[in-house]
Amino acid sequence: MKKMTGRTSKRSRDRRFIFLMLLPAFIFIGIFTYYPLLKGVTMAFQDYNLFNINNTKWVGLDNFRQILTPSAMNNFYQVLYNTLKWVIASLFFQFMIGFALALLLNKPFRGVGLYKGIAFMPYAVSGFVIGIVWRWMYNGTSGVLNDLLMRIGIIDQPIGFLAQTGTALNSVIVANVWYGIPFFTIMIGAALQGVPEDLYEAAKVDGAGVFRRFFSITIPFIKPVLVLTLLLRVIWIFNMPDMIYSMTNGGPAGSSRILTSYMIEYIYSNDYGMGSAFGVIIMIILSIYTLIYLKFTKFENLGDY
Amino acid sequence: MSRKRKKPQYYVGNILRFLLLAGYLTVVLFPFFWILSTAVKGSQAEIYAYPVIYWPEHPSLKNFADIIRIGNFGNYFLNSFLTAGIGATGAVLVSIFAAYVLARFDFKIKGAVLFLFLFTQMIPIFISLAPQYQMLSKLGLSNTRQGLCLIYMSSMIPYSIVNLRGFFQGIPVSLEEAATIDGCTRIQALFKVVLPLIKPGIATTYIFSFINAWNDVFTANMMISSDELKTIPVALNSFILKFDIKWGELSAGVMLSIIPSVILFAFIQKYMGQGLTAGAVKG
Amino acid sequence: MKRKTISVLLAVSMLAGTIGTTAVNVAAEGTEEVTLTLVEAITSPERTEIIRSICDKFEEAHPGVTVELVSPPSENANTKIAQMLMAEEKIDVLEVRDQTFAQYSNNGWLGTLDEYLEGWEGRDTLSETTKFYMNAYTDETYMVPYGFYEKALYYRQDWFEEAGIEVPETWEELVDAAIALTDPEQNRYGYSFRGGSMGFSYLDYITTSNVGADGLASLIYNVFTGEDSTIYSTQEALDAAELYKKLFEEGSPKDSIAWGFTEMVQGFVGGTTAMLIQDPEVITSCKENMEDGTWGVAPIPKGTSGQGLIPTGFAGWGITSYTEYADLAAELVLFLSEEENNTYFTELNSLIPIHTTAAENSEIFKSESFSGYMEMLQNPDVYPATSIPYNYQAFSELSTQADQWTQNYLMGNISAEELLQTYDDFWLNALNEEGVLWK
Repeated sequence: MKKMTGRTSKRSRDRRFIFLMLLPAFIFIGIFTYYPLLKGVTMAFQDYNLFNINNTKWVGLDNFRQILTPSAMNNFYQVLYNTLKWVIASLFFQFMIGFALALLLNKPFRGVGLYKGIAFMPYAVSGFVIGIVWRWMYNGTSGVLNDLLMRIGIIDQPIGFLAQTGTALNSVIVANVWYGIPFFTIMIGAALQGVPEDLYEAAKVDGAGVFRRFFSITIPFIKPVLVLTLLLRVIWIFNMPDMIYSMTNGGPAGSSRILTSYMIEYIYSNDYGMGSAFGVIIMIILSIYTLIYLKFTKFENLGDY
Repeated sequence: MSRKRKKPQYYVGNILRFLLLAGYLTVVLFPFFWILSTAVKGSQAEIYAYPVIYWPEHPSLKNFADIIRIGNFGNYFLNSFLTAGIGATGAVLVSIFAAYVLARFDFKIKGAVLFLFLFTQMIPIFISLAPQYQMLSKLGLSNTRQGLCLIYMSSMIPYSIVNLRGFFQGIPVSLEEAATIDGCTRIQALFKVVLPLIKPGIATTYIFSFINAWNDVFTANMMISSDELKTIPVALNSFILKFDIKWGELSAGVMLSIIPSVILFAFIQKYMGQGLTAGAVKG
Repeated sequence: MKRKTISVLLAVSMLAGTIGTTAVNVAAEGTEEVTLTLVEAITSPERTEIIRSICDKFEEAHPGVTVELVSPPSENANTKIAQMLMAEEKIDVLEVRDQTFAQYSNNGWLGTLDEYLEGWEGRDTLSETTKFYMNAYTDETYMVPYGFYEKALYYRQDWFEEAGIEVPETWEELVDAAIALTDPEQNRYGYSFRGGSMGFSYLDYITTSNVGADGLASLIYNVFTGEDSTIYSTQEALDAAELYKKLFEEGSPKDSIAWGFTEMVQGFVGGTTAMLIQDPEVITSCKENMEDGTWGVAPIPKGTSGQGLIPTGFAGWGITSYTEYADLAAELVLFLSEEENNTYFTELNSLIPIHTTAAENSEIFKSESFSGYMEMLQNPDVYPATSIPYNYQAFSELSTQADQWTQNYLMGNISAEELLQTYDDFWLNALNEEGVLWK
């Protein structure tokens, strides 16, 4: 190796060090994530149907055109609306309840560890399986939820939760909220532990009330965590077809279809071209969202994640 | 802390808190109660009975016995442990290096590098599942635990990097600087000084990755064909038949399958989430 | 404590690593003998065991041959098996279903069986149904059916007797009976309606039964009435659509708009519904969960044409085009299809067997519960064998869309005319793109 002057050699040494340290991660992600993705993306521009692979041909943007052109029976914008509703409603309730729970658990009491363990349980089951269980609980003729509500006297006729266009998506959202609360409880709970106690004490001395303290100390202090978890969570919920797939598969009458579950419908009917085109649309939407979000939250550190 | 004279609000607050926590606990536990109650019902008729039977008169462990003895559940457990365990270990090992430089260095394309990792989270699994399968097949790794491990490992790397990076940022740089002055290389400093300090971070990241892989259905379903290589979620999926669902066995399987995750969580609950916290707060 | 945790974790994963590799080494060694890989698609633990036991017999008769069974969860088996075939993974014998047959043969994944069938003695006793479906779509034989998922009408004998109603013979009567037996107060409904996954095909059943065999362009492509017309533009289709909606609204649980196979069977077996149109597989569930004398099986209802046309589901065994052991694989297919083994398989899986002699010799197929099925098979004029245009690519697209169309109709979002127009346009477009595929 050539000898270099102190500064440049340190910089190039650093560079090499950085490169070598990042290399393994890049290799794995490059081979097992990005390479297959590339293959997948190319299918979006093909008429690629496993019904007959010999008929595969390049079609440019045809698949996208077909998706984006609304027709009487197949409305992309309805699916998009469902997706947004699915993400926003799931996220809102997961976040609010998760946050509230984290606050309630922040003051130690006897058995708090056990309580946390139990509260974590939903997160320990696979989304697909938990969807199957919820579908059964929601069953409109013999489901346990109907039975329970009728015993309590809230309803006097069973409700077909997953069988009505008005309730299907909401019912899946309820299940998803149940499933996702622990994530926020855990993350926010951890952040709350980092808030220095003396800040509160000082604020108390200054006569700040509970709400004042919450909004002027707690929130700003854990804001970075909130911003980051919200970002990740939006992406994950958007990209989580498991529960919709196993509970309603988009029905009835498309009322609970979201983009990712719709994508599965196409893939399972062998139409990989259309399925992949949906995949590309999903990635575009999420990238745009992420970039705007990062800019909007002006969160510099997040800018590098 | 002395709490001699309490204001009435204190008690009201505590009672309210108790009620809220108890209410939430009920909501969380109900589906699990239902799963457990189904698992100890002896027959499909009892399971499908209407009006609903909440708790069978004669609970039986038949379903548990069935899946363990006939259903080969022990083997599925082993497969899940191997794939999730090795996948998570690999992900954490690889991520330690990447996370470390991303926490400690500033370089021009750092933003782009991080976005490349973040972007992996936006990929819908079904766009790459078939190509992944074709690739593994060409490598001779389809229908092997190794292949599944590699996929799990790669898919867990990005989140592990973010999480670990947060923990690294929580450690003052001065510690390593002191070590390098003492003659350590950067790598030595990383292993000798920094890693011991972020053990909780490593454990958290590990377990988070582990649970994610443990719960995966779609990938394992696609990559694994042989019965002796099936993971738990695939096995659970096998109880969904063309015209029926074997609720008893499925429920018993679900109850067993959450045990490892819950135990692991109990170990790390104190540290869970600190990575994001530490990193973010520092930034 | 912390240190302990981590070292335990590391130890476990290192141990895991060693076990993982040893397992592979062992697997790689045993390649001297011939291993046939058989992939099944409609899986259940019990069924796998039945196939396993037949394969054991095959192994006994062929020393040195091992049959390896691959049983992906049935829920998404089709997708997975297609990927395996595309990658030319080791598969010698595989289950070919009505839904996957066209796909496999289009892509050249199946090997022909004609030369092997030539001298096969079992061929003489194959039923008409078997011959019909075996070569329905192709002149070459790519699969030997293992049994049929024929539809029949299951009914609650006790409820019908109690209400003094005759078991319906036509769709009109079925709807009337369903309405008469519906009593939401008691959580009783007339009919196990299928509105969910693949439910749309039930509307087709009524329509084709109204149109009748003579009105169809081809029995195998049951949606066309000619080279440029479909059943959906007929008056019979409109009548069917109205009857179908009436059946849903007045004779079925509201919830059933989302019901798939599981729920509709569960509804009948669990005592919520009085009638169900399903495969013989359901007999097993009925026997297990219902009391004798409370249920019966009758032939499917007829349409206004006087015929009942419900396509029979079929599936069978085939060999891959790329198998290294084509002869041996074909031998296994024929072994599975022999009368003794096929009867054993169909009896235990509760399917219609492929050999005529099985129906005559087996106590099970002679029993009361199969009589409805056998009656239909003996009257092909009234219940002709039909099939669905599976080998139009359009059909696989239709199956993702049509449920939502019919659900929209049932919920009153669109009219019957609009629904039928959509179907008509869809199939005319398919004709236009893919041509006329029948002879």
